Amino acid sequence: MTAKHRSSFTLSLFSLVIILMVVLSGCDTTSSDNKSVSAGKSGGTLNYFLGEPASIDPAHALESEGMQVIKAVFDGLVDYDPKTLELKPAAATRWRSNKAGDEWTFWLREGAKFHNGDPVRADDFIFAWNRVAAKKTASEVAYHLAPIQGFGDVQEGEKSKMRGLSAPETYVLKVKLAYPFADFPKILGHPVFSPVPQDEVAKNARKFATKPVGNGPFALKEPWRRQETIMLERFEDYYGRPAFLDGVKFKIVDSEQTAFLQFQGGALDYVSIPGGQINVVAKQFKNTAIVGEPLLVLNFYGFNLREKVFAKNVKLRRAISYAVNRGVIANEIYEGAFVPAGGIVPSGISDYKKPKNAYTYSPAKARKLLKEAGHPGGKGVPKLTLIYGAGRGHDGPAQVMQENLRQLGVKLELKALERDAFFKALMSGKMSMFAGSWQGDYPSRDAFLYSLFHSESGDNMVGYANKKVDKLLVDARRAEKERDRRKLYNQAEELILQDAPIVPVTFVGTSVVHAAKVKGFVRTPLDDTPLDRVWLAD
Amino acid sequence: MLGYFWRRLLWTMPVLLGVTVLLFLLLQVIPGDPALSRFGDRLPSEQSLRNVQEQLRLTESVYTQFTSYLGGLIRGDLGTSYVTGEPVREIIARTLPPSLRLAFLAIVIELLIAVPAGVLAAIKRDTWIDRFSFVIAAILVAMPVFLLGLLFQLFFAIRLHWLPVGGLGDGSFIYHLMPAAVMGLIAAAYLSRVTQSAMLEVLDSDYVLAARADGLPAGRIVFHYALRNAWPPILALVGLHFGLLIGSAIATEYVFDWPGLGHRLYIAVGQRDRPLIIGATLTLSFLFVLVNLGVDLIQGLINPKVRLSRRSEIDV
Repeated sequence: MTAKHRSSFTLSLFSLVIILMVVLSGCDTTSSDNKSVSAGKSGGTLNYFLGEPASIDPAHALESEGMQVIKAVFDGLVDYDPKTLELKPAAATRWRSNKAGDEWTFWLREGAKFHNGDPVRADDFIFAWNRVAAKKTASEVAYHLAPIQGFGDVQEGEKSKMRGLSAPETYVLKVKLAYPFADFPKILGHPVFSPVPQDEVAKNARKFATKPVGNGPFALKEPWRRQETIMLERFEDYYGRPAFLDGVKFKIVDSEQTAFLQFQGGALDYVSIPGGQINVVAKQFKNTAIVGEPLLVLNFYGFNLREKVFAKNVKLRRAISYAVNRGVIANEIYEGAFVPAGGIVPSGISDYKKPKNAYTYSPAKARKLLKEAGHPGGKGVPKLTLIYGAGRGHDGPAQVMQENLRQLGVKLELKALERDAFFKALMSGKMSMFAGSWQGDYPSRDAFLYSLFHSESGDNMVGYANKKVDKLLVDARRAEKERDRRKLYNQAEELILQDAPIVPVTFVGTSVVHAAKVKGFVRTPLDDTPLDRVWLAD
Repeated sequence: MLGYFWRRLLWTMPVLLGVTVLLFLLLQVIPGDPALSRFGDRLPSEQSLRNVQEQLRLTESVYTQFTSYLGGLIRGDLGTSYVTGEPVREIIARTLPPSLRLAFLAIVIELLIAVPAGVLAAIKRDTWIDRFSFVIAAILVAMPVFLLGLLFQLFFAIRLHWLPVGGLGDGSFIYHLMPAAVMGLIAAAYLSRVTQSAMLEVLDSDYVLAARADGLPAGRIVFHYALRNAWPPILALVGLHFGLLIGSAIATEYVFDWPGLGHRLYIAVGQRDRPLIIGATLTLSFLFVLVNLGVDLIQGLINPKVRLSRRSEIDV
């Protein structure tokens, strides 16, 4: 998402130029087929658009740009199926938990190597995870390791190693958790859990930051040339099927518009589509544009439940949720690239089931609920304020909601705040509503439901507390069987939707395009491309 | 002249110190926690935020931070980027040369277009040539650089496939051409007007009239006498442009995806990367002073009327 939101001023000017672009560039219509992985042809270098990453070190795998590179260079214990996001083995061939679900054992693949030829052992995972948790690393994504016993001590700098990690054998990793967590393997596909060869970091930590040595299908060919390129080459000693491509050239371009022009000029094989041009580009490249596939990102408006007006007024909250015209926001403002959200869990999650209590646009229901709440025609509802981060693309959707609520008789003031001021307002709880965006870092319902709505979660920004929901979420974490977990999470989601602590608005969707010669291209719901599957046709 | 050069250079030191103090204080006041910006859109836990703040030494007092930075500066250490962890000196060493190359080429293009256009407009004053040159200059001055850049990209790269869309590529000349042309054209629009008015002033002077009365050839009058005396304001503006083009070509560098210092500075401001903002600004300020000093020296060499003195820097 980081490179996707540009100022509306720039966007509108760029949109004006689109007419010229179509005229000048002609109307290439391309075709593509995403054949199965085994059908690929070896060879060639893929020119891939990338915004400047903040880091390509797994310890700082925060934003999508860096994660795209890290995922090509490193393999964690597990991986996700690119379409269904089901778990599949990677560096670990199998795993098992104890009955309680708080102790996990992973059996590693023997013979797997780092790009420097060293074997990938359990100790390399222990070293890498302790490195992420260490205070001096100051990792922005260390919180992913919070379930592991002893994480807090290492974060605070009191200890250097998490007591929950051990390697009883060279290729066996044991992880003790602070609490039962049946979905624990699902979080391990995040790049922050990648193994790191200790010697390479010890030798030269600064070099590792620009030329990390991983164990994935691609290796860094040369150190990262900041603001220019990141060059990868196929790792021939990879334990799995070798990548089809000889290499990947990540071309670092800050402006999506410039990148798109480079794509049109043939210098790039893949780009994201600039905002304001999605419909035109989707038509022009109808066989290779991937638009509107839901990602694991929920955009929502949160109610501050510590505020008197919302604290005990469920019907008012539900009325507001029914009043929002999600279709207009998704289809007109986001040009069909986003998907209207009635529930909380995105449809990209495996075995997705639409909740019964999902919200749709219904002014009649909204008016009825408002009346039942004791506010017929909005009477007695104080003026509400919605705060949001300025320059993050929230203006348009917020204006739609403002108009929707005005028709209901409820006044809504919009306040765009600079990021720090926005975060401070969120932390202090001094607002009535806020615009939020939540990205599931891993394909689990827990990433959305527990994080946002468990009363003790640090990410529960709305201040929601429901003992029944808390119990369902904890029970789900303990449930051994996937089916039981899903059922419990579904029940929790239904209850949360009934309580309406947030207004779900849209699920962020894909808006990317690739050249016709690029085959085997898949954009996953985690907003990345598994590059080892990609191949180039003649 | 050498003494004058060193004196001027010495005078830049208090200026640079002033810039450092001002920027340091300004960056403390403007909203935006550099540690918080490392977390993107995610609200960090208190412990994570504290760890980053401690790593960046933001928990120390402003006074300690400043004296420590100043100490480093005296030793030639510009600090380390808050975001990438790279020494600022290395970032500048990497991004300044592409910016300098672009600025230099832009100046060449500016001079090649603006001086002949300005001279021609002055000779042919009140004719269609003068009016045409005025209209073109007005359009170029009014046009936002990124719009002109986009139009160039669409026409020369996408339509004609003559030039690459952007980026540094292999660093060859062809990659420099389009961004430099855009920068040079816009700068030329200003310079052509200055050249014209400087030329008009000289062409109306007594000695030119006397030269005409003596029957000297028009070409000799224009190029040997008039243009030579019109150079001071032209060169002064070129010096100013060169300084501006090195660091302020943010829009051009952004549109053409040029990995220069202006582009990097623009990103650094968004990220509240204080060491990089200060380091880059100091470098640009120093270069600006240096380039203008160079222009003053050249003025002294090409025009005997321009005298470099102790009291005032330029007496004309």
